[in-house]
Amino acid sequence: MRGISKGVRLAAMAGAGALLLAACGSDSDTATEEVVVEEAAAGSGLSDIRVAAVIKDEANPFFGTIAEGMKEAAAEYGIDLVVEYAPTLNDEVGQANKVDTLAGQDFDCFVVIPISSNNLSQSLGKVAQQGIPIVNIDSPVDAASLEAAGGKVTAFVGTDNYKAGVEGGKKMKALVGDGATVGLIAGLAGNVTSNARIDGFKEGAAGLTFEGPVNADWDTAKALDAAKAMLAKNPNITAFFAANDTMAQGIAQAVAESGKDIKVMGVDGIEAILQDIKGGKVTGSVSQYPWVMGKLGVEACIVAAQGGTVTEFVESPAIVVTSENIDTAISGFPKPPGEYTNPFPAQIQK
Amino acid sequence: MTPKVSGSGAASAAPGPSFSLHTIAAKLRDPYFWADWTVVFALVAAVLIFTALEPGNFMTAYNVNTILTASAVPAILALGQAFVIMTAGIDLSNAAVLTLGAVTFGWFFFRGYPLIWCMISAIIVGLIAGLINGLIIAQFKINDFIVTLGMLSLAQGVALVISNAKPVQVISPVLAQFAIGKIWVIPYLMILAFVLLLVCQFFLTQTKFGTHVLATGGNTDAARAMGVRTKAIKVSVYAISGTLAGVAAIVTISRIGAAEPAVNTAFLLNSVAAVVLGGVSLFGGRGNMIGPFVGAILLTMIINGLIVAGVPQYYQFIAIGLIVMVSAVLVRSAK
Amino acid sequence: MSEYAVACHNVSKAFGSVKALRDVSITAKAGEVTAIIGDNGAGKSTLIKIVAGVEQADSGHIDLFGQQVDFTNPEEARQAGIETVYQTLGLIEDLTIWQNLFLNREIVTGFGPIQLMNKRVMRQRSHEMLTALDVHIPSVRARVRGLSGGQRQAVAISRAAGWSSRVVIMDEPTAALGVRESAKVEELIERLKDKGLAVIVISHNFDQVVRLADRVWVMRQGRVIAELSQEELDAAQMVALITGAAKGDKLNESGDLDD
Repeated sequence: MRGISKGVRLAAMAGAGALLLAACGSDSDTATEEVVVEEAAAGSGLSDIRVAAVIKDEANPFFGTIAEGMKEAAAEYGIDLVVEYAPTLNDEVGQANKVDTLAGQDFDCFVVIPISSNNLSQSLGKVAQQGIPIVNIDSPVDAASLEAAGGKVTAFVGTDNYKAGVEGGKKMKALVGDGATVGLIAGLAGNVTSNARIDGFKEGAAGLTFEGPVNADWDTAKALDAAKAMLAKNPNITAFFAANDTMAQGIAQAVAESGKDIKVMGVDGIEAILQDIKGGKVTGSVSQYPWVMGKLGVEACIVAAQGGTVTEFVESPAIVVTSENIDTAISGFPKPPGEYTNPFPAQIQK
Repeated sequence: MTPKVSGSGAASAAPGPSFSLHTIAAKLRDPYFWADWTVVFALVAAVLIFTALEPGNFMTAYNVNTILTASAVPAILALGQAFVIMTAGIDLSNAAVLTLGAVTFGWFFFRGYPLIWCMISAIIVGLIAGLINGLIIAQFKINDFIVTLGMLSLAQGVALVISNAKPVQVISPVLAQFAIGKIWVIPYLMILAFVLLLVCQFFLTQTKFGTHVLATGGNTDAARAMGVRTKAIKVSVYAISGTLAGVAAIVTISRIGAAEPAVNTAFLLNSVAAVVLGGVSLFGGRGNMIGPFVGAILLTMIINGLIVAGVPQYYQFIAIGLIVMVSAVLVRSAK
Repeated sequence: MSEYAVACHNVSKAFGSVKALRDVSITAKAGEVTAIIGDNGAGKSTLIKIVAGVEQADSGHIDLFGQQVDFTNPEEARQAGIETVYQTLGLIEDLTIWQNLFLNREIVTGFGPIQLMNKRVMRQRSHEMLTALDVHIPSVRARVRGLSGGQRQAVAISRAAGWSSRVVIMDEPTAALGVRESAKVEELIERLKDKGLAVIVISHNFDQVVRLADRVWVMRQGRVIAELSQEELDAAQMVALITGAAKGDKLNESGDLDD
């Protein structure tokens, strides 16, 4: 008995260590990036600007693409940029710790994507009290809680997730027709972004029947299991909507295994999903162009760091990508297929 | 009868304190001494290395305050985990119980109950969860892994039900002030954690209860044969771990200004790692509270230092993983 | 007061369908070493567990100094003055000697739930307990893990003898020890006897039994088959009784051993 539990304990220890290591085992480039362009053609002031970004987990390529957009902007303007990811997806306090740590390191502006609407508020309050501007991108920081902590967001760049859901819902309704049943798969329970996308989808696809939503925690494997379970429970399902693309990929797997013709739509527009759309595995994705979001975020930060007037709310584009426009979407990735509104280049003093 | 003591470690002199070169040398040769204090040396080494790497950025008042603030929750959880591991058990549910305590706090807060009641409710819920763990483990002799893994899921589920899967904002000037307040560079949160450390260390070393915890972990059958109430001891340590998770829930809420329904598993791994780093044997029976406490600070400090030094995140994980594994190997081979 | 420290009367115990003890009656006197011998499975361990309160008899009863006792747990037996030194020692390796000696008998001062240990007094008394039995160990602060087998046994026996105990039961006290250490432990057992304690020893070492015991009870298949006094002790005879080669004087009283 004791022998067995010894073995279990050692295995658990090894497991804990492996988890720590595996938690960082994704394939994108390193998580903290310093992009310094010394011979910046831009003015001398720009090279003195230091921007800190604290975003979500690096396991999700969406955030990797955001970081690429950030680095593009940093290189373009020759500023110093440090990107930190949340240690793990659910590590709300760990992410706050990162903001706290960087807040002591002489940065001129912060770009943040909070894990939850509240978890960074206290830390950002301390940042704001040092007079450092904060640009919030993608997922909003709750204004009331930040205000209670003595802070305020300088600018917000993001997609209107509700609207993205509505767009997806309209397209889905057009594809499956009235009376169809759609399975809904949401992200982490209680997540604001997930809720907005799902609620928006329901509005856009009003008139259809909905099954769910089931929470799959933004996780591909969990979404696969959830979709299978929903198909077993309700064979009338002819379409799925997932609150992000990584979950849509899991659903596509479940659909392929079922052998049925079921539409699958996600949100985000990550690179892998474009290939899946091209290959017919996934029907569509409400593409949010995270690259643009990252780039706009850093540009807004540069304006703020220079003391300029920043446009307070900038909506990054959201386009439903399906087989109809997939080729343009792939060739332009990670940039969106067309022009988009960007007020910041005009506000930056070169 | 004149038996000679075999082994080097036990050879300290007559009863009664005496400090001589001989006893110091004996201490240094005692593997327990190294197991107990490795973590303190590691902490000092880490401070020196990071200070050398980032002279102007690491040992600043601001950054020390940041490290200590961030260490409070892991340190409090590590104290509870240490009690459990000293009885050769493990509590995999502490992070989930923290979440459950937090949403319970949020539930009452949202309904306008006074702050003190919200705080007590978080602690009581933690205590109850810990008691359930302990009673099932001790009474039905079910494996601690299974029971606390079950509680992890159970607490998470109940937390989602209570909170309706939505975070509750806790905007309280008192709590917020508590979270950012400090004396010199020492945050109130760390002072709270330190007081808890003193209490835990006191109970471990100065009371009958502490000896019985170590006896239960060291050899349950022998302890029971001597009439030690091993079941009661087991129930107690899980109850302590749950209660401290409840306290950690309050600290977490004060820091992030909200009661979040998601379970932060990083806290669980961190607490186990801190306890192992702190020289507590995973097989029970030995250890003190200072080691795990310092271990929690060390783990937090390493992450902070690597960020300050601009080390990419992947290496931060690798560093933590290696430190835990190497120290576990060192502690084991020291025996 | 009875002449016997311990007297078991017709004790029987079954574990499921296995009859571990059948009508066992033995006695042990104060100031004597009483040995119980027998092959594995003869019921020796079960018998002493019942005397020590670890197990409860199905039928029969036990008298302690003429008073019938009915222990439901080891603690009651201990309070009545019966101490047991188990084969697996029962010491906690990672605790110090004094912590082991005072385990669950800690001297505390305080009130309510806060019971402060009086370490200084416990260390001092531990030292005295060991010295009283002439056990030499460098420091009572040493952890048991660092002790030799003989030292551990000495600590375990000192613990059993050190608490106003009247009966000390030992299960294979020298099984894991070398010749020299066994001799030391035997000296210690003699000393307990001289102090007037009733010592009950289970042993497989017949030479040791011959050296130590004042009275021997031979068990086979859950029954007592012979009672031998010191003058009758002979290692070869004991082997014959245990293996069944010799019949034993008690056999006729309690029936055949046919199953």
